[in-house]
Amino acid sequence: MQFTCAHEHLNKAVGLVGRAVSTRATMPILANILLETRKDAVKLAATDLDHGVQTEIPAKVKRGGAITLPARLFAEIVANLPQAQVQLRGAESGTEVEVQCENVTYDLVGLPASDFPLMPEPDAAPVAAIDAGLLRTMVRQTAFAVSTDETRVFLTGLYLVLDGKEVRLVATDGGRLALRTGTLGKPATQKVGVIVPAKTMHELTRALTGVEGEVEVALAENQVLFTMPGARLVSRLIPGPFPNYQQVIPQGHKQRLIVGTERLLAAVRRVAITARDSANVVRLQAADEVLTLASNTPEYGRSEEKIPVRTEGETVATAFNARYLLDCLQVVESDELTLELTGPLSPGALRPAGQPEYTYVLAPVRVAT
Amino acid sequence: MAFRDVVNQDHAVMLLRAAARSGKVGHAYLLVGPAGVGRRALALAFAQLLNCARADGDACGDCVSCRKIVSGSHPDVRILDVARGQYLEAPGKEHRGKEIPVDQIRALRREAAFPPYEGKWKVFVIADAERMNPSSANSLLKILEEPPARVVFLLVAESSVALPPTVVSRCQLVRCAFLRADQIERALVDRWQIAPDRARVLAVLADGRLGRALEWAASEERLEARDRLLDLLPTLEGSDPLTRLDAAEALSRQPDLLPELLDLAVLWYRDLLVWKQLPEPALLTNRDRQTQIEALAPRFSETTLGARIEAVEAAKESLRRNVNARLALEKLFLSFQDAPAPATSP
Repeated sequence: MQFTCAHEHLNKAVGLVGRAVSTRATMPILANILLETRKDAVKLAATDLDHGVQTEIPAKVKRGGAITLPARLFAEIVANLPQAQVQLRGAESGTEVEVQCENVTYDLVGLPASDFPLMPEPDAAPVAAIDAGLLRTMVRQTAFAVSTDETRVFLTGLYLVLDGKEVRLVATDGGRLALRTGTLGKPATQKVGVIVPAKTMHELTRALTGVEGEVEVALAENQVLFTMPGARLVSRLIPGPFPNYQQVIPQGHKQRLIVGTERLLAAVRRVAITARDSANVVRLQAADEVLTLASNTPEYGRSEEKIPVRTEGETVATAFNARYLLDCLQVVESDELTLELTGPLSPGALRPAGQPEYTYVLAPVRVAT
Repeated sequence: MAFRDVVNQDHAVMLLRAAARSGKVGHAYLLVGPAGVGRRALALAFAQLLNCARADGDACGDCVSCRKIVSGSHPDVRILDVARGQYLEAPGKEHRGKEIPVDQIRALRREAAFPPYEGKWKVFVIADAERMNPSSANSLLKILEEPPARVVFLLVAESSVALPPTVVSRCQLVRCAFLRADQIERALVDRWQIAPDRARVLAVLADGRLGRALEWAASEERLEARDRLLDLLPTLEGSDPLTRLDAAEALSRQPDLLPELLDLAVLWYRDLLVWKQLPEPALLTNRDRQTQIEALAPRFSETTLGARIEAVEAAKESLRRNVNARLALEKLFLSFQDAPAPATSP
């Protein structure tokens, strides 16, 4: 293997794929970055088996081949090389690689590329293409609701549904549920419902920062591939099935509150300070255009705040986990939102005003009256 | 590391191969047998066979999958072996390496929830399964009760007694037997190209465990320690007590080797005793030392040799109970004072 490429390209690519290198992995090969020559290009890839990142950079290939190099070491070297052409030359046999840039030379010991986990190639055309900005927003508004409970693995991911011209992301941990839909430019070629690990989606949004354009979604066996301009992210899928989330979303309501997002957020933040029990209980009760939020922890004290609200329907007194409320209020993009309550022990639904595509359902906390 | 490389565990090999051939692979196997008889080799051979691209009753040993399993970089064949420092995820700081901590089993359960990454079967090998503490075993039990598809757990243990019966009852038992000395000898000569003379000694020393023979064969240090010990023992008989105390101190500086060296000492006195009864070279353990044994045997009485063996056994037991190594050896060597039997004097 022998190729020459621009330092700028190599540095950027190593930084990008390096994010997929696991710090906790115990398989030596997973601490390495794969370098594989293509026609006039070099592919770089890294994976922690949960998710992997691949990218290609333009290069002048003199001799084809592939090798893996220790990710941290290689990243540190590349970051410190002068801004010039970098040449990598692998030994004819063995796993030694010579990195040369101007008058700097490194000799590195790698591992054979054949040891590197196989990364799936999309075996079919992409199922759908999602606007990068939309996907970022969708993940931001849902990913916080996933479960961290490893015994119910299927809740630790986001449920991605592609159906006709609609794309949907759902996340739930059993106590709350976030659902965000979006519209595709072109209908999806097939109906898809897969559970993608939350970590993958976080990495995806990170990789999408500042990226304009579309993200293509394709499927391989047990894997999903997101192809964006300049990089491809591969992730394994969490085996399902995903719970039937539709039945969790309340269909009717007894009372509807319309309230300013910022105002409610500030109030919940303040009242939550004295909600110090394990469930962070904040009580809500709205009557006569006033929403009263209150919390009480006997050992510490209590607080109460009243904010203006528009109400419809009969008064429903209820209590929610303040953290669950805050998580959602922080990602809502509209100025006003509606909170629909069906009873003291029934879930409430939170929807940004004028944005039917986002629904947040949260389970109430049972409190002694 | 295919089945053909496993030495004489015919019954276990047959059982596992039949499972793979019929496609009726159990979700968990418990490979029970003494350390060093090839349990780990069996487990890896089974993992290879299940995932081999060109399997034909046995793994080819040459395809990408087989090679990855041997080099330890197959994403679907994971080994948890705390004694060798092989973990499923980086262990916590407080982990000492004696027990299998529950976070490793949790990592295993999380990993097992996913289908194979690139292979046909996911295989988890848990070496020294008896090192699982109760919470680890119970955590493992959860997944043994509802095993995911295309996942095989291979538990390796010395005995099923040390494991909770709930775990044992959910595994198919695969027994691995001690090997006969002649089988070990042949394997050492044929497969590891060890000189026949040395292979003989190693095969007997191995005590039925090929792994132990290989450990000895690979270590010049051990072989030198053996030579030094066997040279030392006869000189201690009736020598100045100070010399014997010095010898005890010198020997106590190799605490890791000590239990095995004491085993060697027992075999040494056993050889002398045997030679007195029946001077037949084939019966000797230390065959390379036949001339020495021949010369020394008449100088000892049977009672003395019996006493020596008992004293060495007592020292072994003391070490096992964490007695200071030097004190145990001093006691042992100071007991070497009975003059050799009078019959030996000219």
